[in-house]
Amino acid sequence: MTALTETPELLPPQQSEFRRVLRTVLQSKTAVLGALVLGLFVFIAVLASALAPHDPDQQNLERRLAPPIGLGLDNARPEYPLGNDNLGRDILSRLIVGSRVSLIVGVSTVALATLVGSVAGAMAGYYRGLFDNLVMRFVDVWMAFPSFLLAIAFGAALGPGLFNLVIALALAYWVVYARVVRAEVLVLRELEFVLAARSLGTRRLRIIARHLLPNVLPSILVISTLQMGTVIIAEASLSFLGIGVQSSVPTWGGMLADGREFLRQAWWLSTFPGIAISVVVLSVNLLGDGLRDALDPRLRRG
Amino acid sequence: MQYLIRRLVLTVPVLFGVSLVVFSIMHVIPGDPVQLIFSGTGASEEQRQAMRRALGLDRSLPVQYVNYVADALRGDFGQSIQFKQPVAALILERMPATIELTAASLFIALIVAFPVGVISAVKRNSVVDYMARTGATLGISLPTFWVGILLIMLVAVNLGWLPGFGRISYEVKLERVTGFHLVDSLLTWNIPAFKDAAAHLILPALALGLATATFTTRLVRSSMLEVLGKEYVITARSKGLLEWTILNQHVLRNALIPVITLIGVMVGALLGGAVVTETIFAWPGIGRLVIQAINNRDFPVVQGVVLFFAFIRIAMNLVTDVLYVWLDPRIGHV
Repeated sequence: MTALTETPELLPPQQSEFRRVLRTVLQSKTAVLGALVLGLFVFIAVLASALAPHDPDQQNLERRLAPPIGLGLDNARPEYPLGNDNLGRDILSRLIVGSRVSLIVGVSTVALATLVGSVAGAMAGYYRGLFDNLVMRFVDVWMAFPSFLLAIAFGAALGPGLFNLVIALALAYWVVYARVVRAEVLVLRELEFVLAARSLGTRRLRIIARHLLPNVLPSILVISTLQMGTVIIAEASLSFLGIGVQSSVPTWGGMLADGREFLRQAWWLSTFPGIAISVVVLSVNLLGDGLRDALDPRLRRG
Repeated sequence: MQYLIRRLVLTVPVLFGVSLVVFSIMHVIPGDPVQLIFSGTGASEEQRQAMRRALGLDRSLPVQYVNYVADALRGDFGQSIQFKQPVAALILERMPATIELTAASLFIALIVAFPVGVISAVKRNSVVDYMARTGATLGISLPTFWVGILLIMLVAVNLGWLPGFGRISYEVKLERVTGFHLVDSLLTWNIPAFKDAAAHLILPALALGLATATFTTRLVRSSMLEVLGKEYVITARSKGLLEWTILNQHVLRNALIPVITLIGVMVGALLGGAVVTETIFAWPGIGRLVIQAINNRDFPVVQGVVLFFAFIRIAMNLVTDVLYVWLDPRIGHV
């Protein structure tokens, strides 16, 4: 009898599907480029303290606003290839260490938002009825706010700090997962394999976890990747506005904000962090586009 | 008409929920608002208690919420701690600046996105298409505030072509009629002021509009491609109709209507982006107000602005939904 209470394990063509996706992604040069740059970014962020040539907080007032090398400007030194900021701190080291906040916030926010949104959406779509109504009205209300404004409001309410920042951003961006997952589950729940599992008496949570969510995974993956770019920009914007992590921690957004006052004398202060943010977000988006083309045939356009 | 009424009725619970969220945000804030109001004044405990009673903070949360909604319905969104003025007045005073900026950005986004998106879809895989797609991916990846800083650095500081800060030059005098500088200067026939205000508007509107322009170009392109693949377009083509006639008669309308319905979403994104853009360009609008308020822990103002932006967003969604029904006869009976 135990065999019947267990869900029969069909043999899904997982391996070949995975290979197909991988092959399609690898065929796209831009997606590969995005993945490579992203890999480099993760590598730098993880090994930041070892890679940074100087202490990112060490001030050196003699080198205040010193320019980057290669432009023939006075006071440029090869030890400080990207120049120094308004307190004489090494810009390259601050960029390297600053990548950590972008990566940590980007990954944890998207993970948290995906978890909350997908579970809420899957349960709403599967249970229907009152719970569904409740979740969807909640989503309607959330959609009435511009997401970034919500992030600002939650960020301000919760106060500074890495943890609060992640909570604020996840609160602002979870609804998209709830909507997409619910819509897909509404369709999936009527399909034969779900009916079969249900008729075998499989518990509902197990159906959601074992049969529904794996089928929604491709969409979740695509949205998560593309949203990672949005979240990294949002984090940088909040840090720029002074609502992000503590100002003592180097962040790309914070560096841009510091450099704003010196646009006329020292453009490099705000140029390099801006390039860093743009390159990382661009590579995330390129990878996301590639994944979307590979995983979601309905969205395949172009 | 029936649709309109149903749509309006459906908005009520959303508004209710929005007010509840905004109310909750204020109540998760650690710290006592009365403490903030009296910070540095050395007020006695009695004075604090009196203030607490006056603000209704001694009541239970549900009662406070009911009072909050009742006040909001009367147009009373509380008192700013920093400015010692009603929040509603502060928002209304700065509203024209924000609307002028977002409207200009939306305009830029649409006049770029529609032609580029259409051409990119019609001439698929051409040079134009390739450039449009590259530009769209790039544009989405550039943070608004970075674009703004680049524009200030290059166009305003280095080239000196356009002003990079503020809404109008200090020495230009302009009478306030509606609060919209472009409108006021035309109404009072003050051409120097009009030119000055328009020049100030260009860079922030570009910075804010870029992301929306790229996002909308993608939308227009994919919507066009979808319609171009429909059977009735193939039929029209097999009838030997001119390509231009097909586009004009069969494709454009059907492809662009869905894009128009997303203007509500675009306005939402623009309002969110306006917070950053206004801060960078020292644009005296609501976005800058909310950042000032956050920095001064002036939470009634933060609350008021969030509520106000949600209202605008809901109203825009309502307008675009109605517009959709009006433009597309197929769903008229819904």
